[in-house]
Amino acid sequence: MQNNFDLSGKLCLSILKINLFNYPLLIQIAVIVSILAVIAIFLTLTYIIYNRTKRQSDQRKTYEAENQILEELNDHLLMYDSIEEMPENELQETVKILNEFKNRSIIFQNVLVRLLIYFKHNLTGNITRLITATYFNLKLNEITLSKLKSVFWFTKAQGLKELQDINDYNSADTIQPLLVNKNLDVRVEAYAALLKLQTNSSFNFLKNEEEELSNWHQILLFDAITKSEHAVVPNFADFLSSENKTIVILSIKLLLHYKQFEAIPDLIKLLSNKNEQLRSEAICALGVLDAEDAEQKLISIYPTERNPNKTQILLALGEIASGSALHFLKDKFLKADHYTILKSAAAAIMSHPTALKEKILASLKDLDEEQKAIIKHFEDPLIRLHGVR
Amino acid sequence: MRDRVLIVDSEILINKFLESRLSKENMDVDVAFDGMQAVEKIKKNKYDLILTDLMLPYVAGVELIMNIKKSEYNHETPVVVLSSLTADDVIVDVLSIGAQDYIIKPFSINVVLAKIKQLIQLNKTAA
Repeated sequence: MQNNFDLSGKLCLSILKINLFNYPLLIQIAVIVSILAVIAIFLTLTYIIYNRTKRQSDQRKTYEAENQILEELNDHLLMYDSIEEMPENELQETVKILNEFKNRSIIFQNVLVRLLIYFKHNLTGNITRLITATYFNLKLNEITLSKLKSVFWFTKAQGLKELQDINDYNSADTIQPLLVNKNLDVRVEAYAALLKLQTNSSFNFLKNEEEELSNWHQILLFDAITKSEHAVVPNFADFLSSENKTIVILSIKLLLHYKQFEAIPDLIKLLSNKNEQLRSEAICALGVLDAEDAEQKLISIYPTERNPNKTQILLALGEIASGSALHFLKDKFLKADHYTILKSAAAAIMSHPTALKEKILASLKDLDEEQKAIIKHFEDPLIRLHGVR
Repeated sequence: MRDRVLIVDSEILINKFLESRLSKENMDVDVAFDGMQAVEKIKKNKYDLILTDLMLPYVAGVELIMNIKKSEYNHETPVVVLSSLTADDVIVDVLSIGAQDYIIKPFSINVVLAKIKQLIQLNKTAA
């Protein structure tokens, strides 16, 4: 037994004593790279396992925090509509407990903020004022404002979102510097925050933003603009000439929401834009706004457009439904070389007032089976034009 | 005897909040987090009122209401819908298939409690 240990020990020592520099350069490099690769794999696996373990631990702690805080909120705070209704001793006890939660850990802080904001969003009435008062009494706004100073963009963005959600109207000055932050997500959240928290907030960001906004950014901004009270809603047609395509798209959505019919001439100008997507958005918008003035222009650009925009033009003419494009629609229906054109032309014809469409329908002779089936489909009163889009 | 209410909502926090408030009003509360759980419960138990969301996993709210109206124990149980859907046609459809009331989220808890109590009382009087 002793001899076996001696032998294995000597073997290890002899391996360790191998002089790498006795071997060719290529072998030396291969050995070093292999050793580095093994170390890197080991470190990566350790990092992955550590992160997974930490995430599971955090999830468990978050779950526990949520249960404890929810129980406290449901049993005490959310039972009342105002602070005056709460018995004094219960109020003090509740504030004391919520403060303890707040000071316990960052997880508890985040859960407390999240739950208060959740109930503020999902309930109405005086109870929301109680929730907001509790948020400020616990000085949770200080924690939120400190997030704006974080080096991490996602923490800043989270802080901005929380300020919007809790309606911290006093934080506007703190948000201003973030309007020019390098990170687009932070800038968009800052725009949205200011729009929600300041009634006289400027829409200059629509002129100044050069980076393309994602669909999600547009949704955030649309939500912030349309659900806030503004002293003056601008004429969004002023932003249709922006070089930033996404700003133009957002502006079109906003002018449709606010039914700014005065934007129709600017939308008609957009039909000559080089960008196909912008032309498509303009076509849709003209249909929604019932722009009879645009009908001839839509018909004139039809031959030069690809099928997707041709479909949109037909649908827009159907929405406008003045009757002056009926023969054009009939022609496109009879000569459709693609199913979407056939369907859109049929939808457009059938969306006209009864008196107008019956004349055209009567003139449709010798239809094939597909054409007859499509007309029948759109005769169903439950099928609406917007369902076709 | 305490009134028995079934709450059906996939949002756990809202479920727990409503459960807590209704329990404080001396009601026995069952909760279901999806349509399938709700269907199982209505097959086994009689409720004095069912409060349900429309956007539910597995069995949607509209289908659930139709199930309730065909169930052995709960076909006369008042149903109140609590949903964030605001479209007129949705509200009309839901009321036409048998729901007694439709409350839009976000909601006032006082209004919900008042409507629940009123509908339970009316149902008992009619019975």
